[in-house]
Amino acid sequence: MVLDQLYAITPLVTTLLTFYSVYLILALSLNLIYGYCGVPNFGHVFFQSVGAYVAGNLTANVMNFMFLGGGNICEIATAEARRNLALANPAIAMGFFILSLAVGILVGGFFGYIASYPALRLKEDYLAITLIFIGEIGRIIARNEASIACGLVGLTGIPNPFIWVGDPNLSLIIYTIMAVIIAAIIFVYLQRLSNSPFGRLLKSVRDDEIAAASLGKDIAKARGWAMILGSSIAAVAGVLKVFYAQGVFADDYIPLTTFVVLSMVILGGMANNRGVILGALLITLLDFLVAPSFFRLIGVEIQFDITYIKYIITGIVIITVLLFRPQGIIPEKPVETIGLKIARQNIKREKNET
Amino acid sequence: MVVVFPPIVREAIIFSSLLTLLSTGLTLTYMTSRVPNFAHGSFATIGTYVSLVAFRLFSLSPYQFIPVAFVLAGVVSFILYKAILRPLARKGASTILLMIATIAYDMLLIAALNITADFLSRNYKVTSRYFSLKSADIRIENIPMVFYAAPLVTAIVIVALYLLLTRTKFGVAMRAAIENPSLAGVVGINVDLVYSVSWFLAGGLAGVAGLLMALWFIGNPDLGTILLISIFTASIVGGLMNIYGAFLGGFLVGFAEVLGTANLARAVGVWIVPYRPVIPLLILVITLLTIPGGISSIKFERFIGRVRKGGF
Repeated sequence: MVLDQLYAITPLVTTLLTFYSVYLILALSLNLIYGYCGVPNFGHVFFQSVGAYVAGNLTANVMNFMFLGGGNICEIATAEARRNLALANPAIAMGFFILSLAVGILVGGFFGYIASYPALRLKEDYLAITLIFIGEIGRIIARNEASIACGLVGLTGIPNPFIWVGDPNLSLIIYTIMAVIIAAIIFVYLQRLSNSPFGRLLKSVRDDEIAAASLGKDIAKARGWAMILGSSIAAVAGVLKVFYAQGVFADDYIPLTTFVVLSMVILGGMANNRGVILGALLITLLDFLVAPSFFRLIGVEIQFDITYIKYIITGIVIITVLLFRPQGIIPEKPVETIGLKIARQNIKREKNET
Repeated sequence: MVVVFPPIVREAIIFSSLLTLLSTGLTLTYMTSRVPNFAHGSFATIGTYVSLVAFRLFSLSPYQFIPVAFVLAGVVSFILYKAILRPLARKGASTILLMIATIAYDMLLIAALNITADFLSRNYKVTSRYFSLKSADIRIENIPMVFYAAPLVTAIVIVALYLLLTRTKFGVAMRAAIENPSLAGVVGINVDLVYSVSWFLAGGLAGVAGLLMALWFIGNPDLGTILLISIFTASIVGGLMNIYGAFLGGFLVGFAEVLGTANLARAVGVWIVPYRPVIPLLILVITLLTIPGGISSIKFERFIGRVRKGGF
């Protein structure tokens, strides 16, 4: 009885956790670019969408070409054939996921490199304006150009890499665990990166680029690398989302997503990865609580279109935090260097002695 | 003698005039508070819905509601400045943070507009999404009045702004507050009042533009947000630091968008039409890479002087 109920809500829980991982990865990468390096990358959703289009397009086209003898990727029949192929063949199912992840990271990084061209030359407000619009144009192109992700209809039939397990819920659970692990790996990597000399370089570029340049630091290179790393990590989030949803829909990548992610960074605390974990959790939960599926679950009928509540919540969160706690819930902390650790130990020892 | 414009030129004139109105407001607020206001598009959408309410609910001509749209959008814009941007700026927030705040405010407006649209269609059985109010317009010799009204309103606004800034005491105070806020404060100019008035004016102009827009374009809660890219491009091309630059930018971008899309559609096929926003984006990128200060920042006197001297 209890097991049956647990079984029924499994997709809901896995969706929540996978979306949390996706949002967390996005928020961490935006934090690297904006929080640590100070580049206002307001077109962040574009880099996620790059990962999504790569995953969808590559998987569908190569699967069709290599195993199914060609055919239009947008047709339902080929989508079904791809699913069946993945059901029968675990190696292909997982191989395509790993391939998409690798290519997605590369292509995402490449677009980050291109986007760093204006990032090194424009004043920050002009840069933010340009990046928002570039991201939006990317979506407009994807929704009108069928060869990217089947335009408005969306590209479906991107099989879950664990679909061959048999039980659909079990494959969702395995996928979710993997998504959480990937998010954790990225967190540890970024945490180490931000405490490294490179992390300090990024902060110095953000705080005072003239001072950084006078110490012989290459500002352009630091900004460029922050953009490249940040956008390839965002592409990972795109790949993860596509293989979970088993499809790519261009209209998922609206500018609002960037600002939902930005609200996580601002709420948690800029330039603080731990804060971002908390911020992402809070906003994802809020997001989930105002989703129609949740209201259906608790049996409440809603009279109006609830999606706009999401806009209101995101807007109010951003404005309130900016006005009343601009440093976020967990404020930025000094970089954990070896020197700082020794100094802390010394202070502790002195206290113990007295 | 009646000059007959081809429909596409008519469309370009209406679009450019309204774009000019919108980018004038955007430039005004940027000049005063140095913040790119992303909620500006939604101020216009407020005007669009005032138009809808006027015609469908009160059965009145939208032109009679111009003051309502002006005041309503003006107040919404004023609240953004007074309640959010000014306290943030006083705390020393950076331009980017102020910009994020305007985006957050825009989200609230988008939600409010969508809920209003739902409310109108549910309670009054009014088509509140993808609606056209072309039938609400008065026709003069079979030409819709908005074709005259849009350029006329724009011209009046430009002349009025010029007179305000050069002929009145308040306008001089305004220019002083823009040039050097702290010095203006020292000589007794109420800088905060000047900024508040600028924000109110900017929002009001956007509201009027949105109201007129409803008479020609398809109205929807995201009408203004979609136009944002054109508005920003028009302001930046004209020069964000020159109020008259918006006039130049508005007509340049407006004509390039409308005529460019129409001609491209004829040349390569209608599939190109959805890519219309690419045109302002390209103009924006080219401007930022070549003359980031906009057209009005070019020192023509110096250029002509160099030519006269005979050497570059």
